[in-house]
Amino acid sequence: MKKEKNFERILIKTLELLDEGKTFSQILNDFPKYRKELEEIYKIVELISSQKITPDKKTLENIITTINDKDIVTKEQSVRYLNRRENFKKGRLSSTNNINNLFFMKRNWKIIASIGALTLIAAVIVFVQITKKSDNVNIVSVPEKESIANNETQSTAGKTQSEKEKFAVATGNIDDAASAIINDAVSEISQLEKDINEDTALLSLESEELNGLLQDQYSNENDF
Amino acid sequence: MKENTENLKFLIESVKKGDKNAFNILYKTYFTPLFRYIYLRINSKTETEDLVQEVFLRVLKNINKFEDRNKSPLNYFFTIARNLIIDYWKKKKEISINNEEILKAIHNNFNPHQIIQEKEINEIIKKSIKNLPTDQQEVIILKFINDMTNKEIANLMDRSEEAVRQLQCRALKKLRQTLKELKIL
Repeated sequence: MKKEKNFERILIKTLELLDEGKTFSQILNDFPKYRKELEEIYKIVELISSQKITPDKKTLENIITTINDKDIVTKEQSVRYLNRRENFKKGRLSSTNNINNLFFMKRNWKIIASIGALTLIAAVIVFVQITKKSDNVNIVSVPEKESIANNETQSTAGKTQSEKEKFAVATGNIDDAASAIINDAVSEISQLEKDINEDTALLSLESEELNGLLQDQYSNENDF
Repeated sequence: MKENTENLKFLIESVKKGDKNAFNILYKTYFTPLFRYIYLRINSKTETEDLVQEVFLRVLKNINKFEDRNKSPLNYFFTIARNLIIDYWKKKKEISINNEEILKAIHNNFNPHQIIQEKEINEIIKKSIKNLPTDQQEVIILKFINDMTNKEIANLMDRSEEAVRQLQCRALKKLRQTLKELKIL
């Protein structure tokens, strides 16, 4: 039992010496007392080492072809990974970083980003359409308004002369402005005269009616 | 297996940039050690080929996650291989046969008077390695089949060099006992 324990110690030492580069025959000379046991171990090591199979080169070629066909590593992912430190230095929100991220982002984010972009474009198109519609409504109403205005001017054609003159075109010339004011005053005076004449006619008519009424009343009194 | 870690790290960086040639060099560097490692753990050539391919695929898929952090690319490849082997056995749901049963089976077919063929010895060795506990199997394969240093193995298994040596010692003692019983030694 004690010998077995000692052998374990010697075996560990042997492995250590082998690691240091000593040959097995040198080690056997160092421990003559355990020569037989160590020789057995050496034989075992040799038997194990003989199991070194050398795989067929064709196997490797087949593996390489299969893997290359699968093409797992995407260049984008690699570039993104390799640039990660540089990106961090520049700041995550830097425009270059954002552009890089856009190009080298992972597949699922590419889908999300493209869907987002499409939604944004659709929203912009809808907005533009809506604004165009409201503009058309305004555009249509302008000629309508103009036609209404024309109709109005035509219906009041009789008295428009003075009204038209009211809206004399502003030419920027002071003489035109003065003549426009004079015309305006003249038309106002003529309108006033017209009003006065109408009032006098109405008054004379009223006084005639009143005289008639008084005469009727007077004749009635006489009857009594 | 002495690897030039710096060159391999450079290769991995090139792979990250999409350089297929760099990945082909990585395949060539790790193909044989990975093949041997997996083959001795599952003992089936065709399934080993599939698993090696799966290791490369997983490395390629996750190459961007590989960080420098003083870890060698070898660790990366072997960690994936180890996980795949664990998954493989989980799928197989193999009920591990204990030592005695294996020895009995070997004894029944073994005639000491018969000249043991080299093929048979190889088969016994493979079975004996397979019968070791997982960490001992791993240490033996990495050390004596893949010629890795104890430092590399310790790094890979996330253990101290001393612990790795202990595991080697226990594995060799068990193998010695088995082979002695079979009168191979």
